[in-house]
Amino acid sequence: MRKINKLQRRRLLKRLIPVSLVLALLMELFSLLFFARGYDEDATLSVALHFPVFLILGAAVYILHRLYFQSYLSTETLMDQTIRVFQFGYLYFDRNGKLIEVSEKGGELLASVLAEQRGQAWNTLNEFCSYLEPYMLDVAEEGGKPRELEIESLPARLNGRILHVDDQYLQVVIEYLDEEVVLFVVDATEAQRQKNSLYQTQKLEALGQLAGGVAHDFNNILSIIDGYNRMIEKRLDADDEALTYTQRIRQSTKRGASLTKQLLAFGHHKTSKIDTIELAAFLDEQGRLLEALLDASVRLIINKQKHVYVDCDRDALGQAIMNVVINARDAIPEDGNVIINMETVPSHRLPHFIPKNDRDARDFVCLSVIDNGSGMDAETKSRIFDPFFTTKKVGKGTGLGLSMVYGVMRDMGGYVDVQSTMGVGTIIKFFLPCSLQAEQGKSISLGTSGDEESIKFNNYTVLLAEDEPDLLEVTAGMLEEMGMSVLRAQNGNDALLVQEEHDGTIDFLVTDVVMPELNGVKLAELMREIRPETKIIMVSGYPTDQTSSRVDIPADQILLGKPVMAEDLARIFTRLLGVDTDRLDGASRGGITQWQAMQR
Amino acid sequence: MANNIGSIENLRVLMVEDSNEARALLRNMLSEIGIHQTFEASNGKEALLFMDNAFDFVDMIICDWNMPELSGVEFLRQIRSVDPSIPFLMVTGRNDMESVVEAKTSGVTGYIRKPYSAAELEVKLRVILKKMAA
Repeated sequence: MRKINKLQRRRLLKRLIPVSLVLALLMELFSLLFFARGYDEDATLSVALHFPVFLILGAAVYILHRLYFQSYLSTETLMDQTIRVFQFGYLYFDRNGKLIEVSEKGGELLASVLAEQRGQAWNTLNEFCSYLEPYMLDVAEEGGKPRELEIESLPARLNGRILHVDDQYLQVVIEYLDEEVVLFVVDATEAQRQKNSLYQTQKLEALGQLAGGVAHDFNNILSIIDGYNRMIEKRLDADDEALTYTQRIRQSTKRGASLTKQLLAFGHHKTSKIDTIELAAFLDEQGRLLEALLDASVRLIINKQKHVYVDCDRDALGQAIMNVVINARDAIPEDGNVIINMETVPSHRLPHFIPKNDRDARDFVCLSVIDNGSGMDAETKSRIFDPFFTTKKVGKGTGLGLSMVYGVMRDMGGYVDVQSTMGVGTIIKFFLPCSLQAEQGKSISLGTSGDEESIKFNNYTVLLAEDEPDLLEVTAGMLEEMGMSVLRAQNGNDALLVQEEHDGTIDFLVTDVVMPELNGVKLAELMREIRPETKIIMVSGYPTDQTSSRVDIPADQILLGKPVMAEDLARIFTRLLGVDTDRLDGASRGGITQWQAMQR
Repeated sequence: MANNIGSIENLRVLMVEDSNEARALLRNMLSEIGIHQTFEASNGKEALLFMDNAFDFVDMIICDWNMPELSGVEFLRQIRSVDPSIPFLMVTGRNDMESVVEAKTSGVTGYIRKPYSAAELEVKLRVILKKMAA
């Protein structure tokens, strides 16, 4: 049998006498109708004798009915079910504002919150009363109304109100019953979190718009400064002292431009360059850059898995990781570790802030940057993605680093999570959706014969510019044989058009020197500006004697004489990619020496 | 528009740009590239007026996207109603995809993002010329 609460007891007692009386009268009537004939003159006496018995019987029946049938048979009342399903608690007040009853859930909600807050055990009911007290007093003081009206004005003050206690949000909903006021307490934490996150998103969106606008004007100004500066440079002699000044201007405009880039990356401005990258190789590459940023006292440890691919703007992801690592470095007071951890996460283990649709649709890889630095407090943590928010000294940080990270993650369809404990350290987790075209990663492998000619550069892209159609086909075939994807161009201008229409990266440009419209040297010059990552190899019919060619080839340009041999190209490619051919196959060092001789 | 431009040096360019400094810079860049036949307009209205009278003297339009009076989009729309094929290079300070998509759908021949160098401009011009020749 369920224990009845105060309120139920009150109701039970209130109804006990009338209900028992009615039941007793009914029993009396019944007995009179069926048994009255047996009693003649003693009928009145018998009624007087039986009535108390019937009365007791009626009361017993009523109590048993209440306790067993109503309470026991349906231990879970509709109210209870509702409470269970909607996760709320209730509190009954009488008209005088006195608490009569507190439900289990209501107590629980408040108990967990307040216990945590005060770090002590307490009495649910009293605690809640004292919690509500300020609100109730407010009403009394403001309106100066009599005490019994307090509870009536309570709804206006509290109804729908969300109380924020520690990490929990409680919403109060007030209902009037006949004789009591019931106050529901709903755990609105989840809803409020979603609202806050929406608010955060909207705020960041708005700031992104603003940032985009600022970046636009800023870019205009920068382009003017940079343009004129370059013009001054051109008019100066090579030994002019003023060149050091113009170089400083150039460096500063570059810094300015990278700032706008970060601003735009944070705003909703998607970059157009998307590559499929193998994360392990990418991290190796980044590791070298990152190590240069760290002091000797900070160790960088990278744990990685091979064959995980993501689609992203390579530079942007690199910058995002770098920003986080720099923060990690700055958070480490003396010596410590920065660990970059990479693991694929099965969908059921993905955190719930990633929408279910996304969790179901894609595999994710989690890239965590972990430091044992000073950590952050909750206030800092809640603002770290805001643009211009920084805890660093003036001039040390722009406050754009993590905003940019946020923007990059959103553009990639990824998510970022921050966990931090003061004095323990911080973990920033990137959840990146895995690429659907995983097999497209670049790799260098050795063919069957084991010599340089057989090295395969799988999925590397080369732009080949050659005005002689037959030679173009022969060389393209040779490069394709090496596993590369070849973009063919018939002359310099064509090469520019081809590269413009190619979305991915171009690893190499192999160009003829002498071509109509736009020659190889000019093409190389332009390519260095617009695609600085592309490595350039020139091919010429006049390889050794520069004076006999009609154009000036820069002294540090790699120049290959015609006819072009596959092994020469392979050797140059491996060298340019920084691949140790010895580790591939132990190829002869002689080849490299020959190539160095060619590099003038 | 002249049908046979040949080399980039023969190109005749109308620059539409509201900022005086930016316009002067563009002129300098063009001359660095080897293009000396340039015309200038400081806003869309001026440019339209110029084009009304001198359509045959211009091979290419380089136009800033954000301008007062008549925006780049509106100017382009009016130009396209007269000549659907004249090369139109849009210059934008925003390097977001949205404005690029907007420009592409409104029919620009090419776009370039600020800040740009003379080399980048030259590449764009050459690409446009190549596209037009094809």
